[in-house]
Amino acid sequence: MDEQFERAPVGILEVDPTGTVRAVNESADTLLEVGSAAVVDEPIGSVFPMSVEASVSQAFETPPEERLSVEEFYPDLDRWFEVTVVPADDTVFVYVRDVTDRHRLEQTLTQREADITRLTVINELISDVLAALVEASTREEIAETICTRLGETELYDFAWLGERELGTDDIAVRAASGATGRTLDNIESALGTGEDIPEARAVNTGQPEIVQPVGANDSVPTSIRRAAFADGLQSMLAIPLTYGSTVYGVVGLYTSEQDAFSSRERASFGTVGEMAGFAVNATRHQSVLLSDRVVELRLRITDRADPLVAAAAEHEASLSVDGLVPETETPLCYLTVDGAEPADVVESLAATEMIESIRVVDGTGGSVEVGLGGDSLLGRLLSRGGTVTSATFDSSGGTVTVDISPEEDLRRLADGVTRGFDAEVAAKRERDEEIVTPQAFRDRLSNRLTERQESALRTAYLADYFESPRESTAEEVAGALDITGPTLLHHLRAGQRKLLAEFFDLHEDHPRSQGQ
Amino acid sequence: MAEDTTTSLPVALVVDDEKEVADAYALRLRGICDVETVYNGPSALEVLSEKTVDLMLLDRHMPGMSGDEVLEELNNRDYDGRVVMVTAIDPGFDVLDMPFDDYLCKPVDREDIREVIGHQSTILGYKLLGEYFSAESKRQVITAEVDAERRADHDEYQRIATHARQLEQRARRLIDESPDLLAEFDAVDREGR
Repeated sequence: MDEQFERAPVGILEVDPTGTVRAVNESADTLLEVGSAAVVDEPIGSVFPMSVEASVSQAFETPPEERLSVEEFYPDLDRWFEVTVVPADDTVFVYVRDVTDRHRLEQTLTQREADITRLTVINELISDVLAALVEASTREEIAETICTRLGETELYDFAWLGERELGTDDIAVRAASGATGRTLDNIESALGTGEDIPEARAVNTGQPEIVQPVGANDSVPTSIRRAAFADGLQSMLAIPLTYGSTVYGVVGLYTSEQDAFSSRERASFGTVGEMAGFAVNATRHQSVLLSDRVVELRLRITDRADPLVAAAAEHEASLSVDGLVPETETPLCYLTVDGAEPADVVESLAATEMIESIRVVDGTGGSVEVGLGGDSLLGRLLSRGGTVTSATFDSSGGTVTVDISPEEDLRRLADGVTRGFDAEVAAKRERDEEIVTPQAFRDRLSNRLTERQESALRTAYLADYFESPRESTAEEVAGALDITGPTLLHHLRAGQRKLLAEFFDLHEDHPRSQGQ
Repeated sequence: MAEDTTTSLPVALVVDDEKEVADAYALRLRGICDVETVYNGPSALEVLSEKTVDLMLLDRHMPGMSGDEVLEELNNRDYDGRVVMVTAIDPGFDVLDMPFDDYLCKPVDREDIREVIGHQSTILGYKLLGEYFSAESKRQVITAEVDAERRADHDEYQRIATHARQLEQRARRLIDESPDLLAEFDAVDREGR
């Protein structure tokens, strides 16, 4: 081989057209990792390392006539070569260049691009979930939204959402989406037996938890690891649904990707969990107003530590609550005293600590106004979100009926009351809250009002009598109706009383809603 | 690749999206298998629809179509070969109840890969041998009952005969002891008297 070829910075092999190696330069010797002495006069197929394509040996199956250029990977050397076969007159030149570095660089770049694409897709997904959460108005919708959005993407194999059961540490599956496979079945079984799983830990700590690889991590029960391995799942993230220090539930996100969750994803999905927790919390507070199901509790109390129980027993009187105003700082309670002098009852009540204020509203009718302290039975119920629908006390004790939302923690409410008093839950039932349409409201009111009361109200309203200042005087309205001023005022007052009674939903047999 | 070599060695299909890894497996299996190498799931399915594959070395985590998705597709087809899944982790589970026949963990060393493939060849070989014996018995029963002229037009006979021939060929390439077993099987006189 010529000097300039011998020292060339590229591998050169001189081969005769039948495929027998005639000479190999220094570079080729180094690249192909062969001793040059052993290769001369050997067939090219045994000199050149093996590749899957075996392009070089194939090129010499018949004497090569055309130039051929290929890039191949040689596993035994772990190198990529660019090989060019150039036929000349009676010699074929084979040029070899190591292009491994370029290939490795390309692989790195492809990987980076994939990482960036993945990040972008995740960010879009997360903003998508957050936007959808804003729209969700019930807990079911929140659960479905999260699972569907996360479970049905290319990124993740499946997502499931578990909620903490009220009053316990148990977690129940509420929604799931994607290829849940055998893994979710085993998660459900583990929840049933109370085994320690990543999702339960996220609920206990309020912190997201990453487990990867799922199949080989001892912190996951074997049954789940085995199922996850069979299902081809590699990584999981448990996202707690938190609001302040309250954890409402958890989302388990599973994927076949290896090391799919970084600290960045942990933080981003942590935000999704907080947003979902916030949304769940919002539905809880709306639910009493919006839900058409309520839980009705009937409590029975004989403990005289409660002032109303004590007063009813002491005077052998019957006290029945007509209505409550819970919004004021000290909730106000209006009750009717029967079977005793209201003044005597007021005197007893005024002496107790749990009553903040008290006065007789109507001595003859027996009506009394009581400012309730927070420690009294009714005070406790009101401060825990209950709506007291009826309460009566007599010499044998008191019976209180209270409505609460099914979402509320019943046990907590009952505990809060029975811890302070010797009281018990006598009955509990769920019922549909009656929803009164505006039309029904008008019809019922119309039935209550006499014709005169209704025309007096309508005329006064249309004549701007109720504006401030008045646009029409009582005399002017009375004149329009051809009645006297005092008669008009009588009709207006009776009509307003019925209107308010209907609005505040007082019962027909209630003393305050009776009268003309 | 010349046709006569494919009849003497088990046919293996290597599937891995990393060309360097797939090619390395392919070279390791040279000499014990006739190896096809592809770099994605769809190409693997294409090969399977063109030829009978005995053994498959399937990378689990490939972009686009994963090994698990390929496996799912195989369940929809009548693939009767063995599947060895190549995974990134080693949880140390036995393969009972798993959707594949065995698994290897990356990085896979030369001896392991040859041993696992050899093992799966033997298992498949005996399974196909059993199927061959049962098909061949049926064929012989028909041979005894239907004369040669009518057999040529006998669809059921032709179908069984072709199937038996294919099973025999595959069993032969999969297990070394198959010639002996086949000779023993042939030596039994089933026609009586």
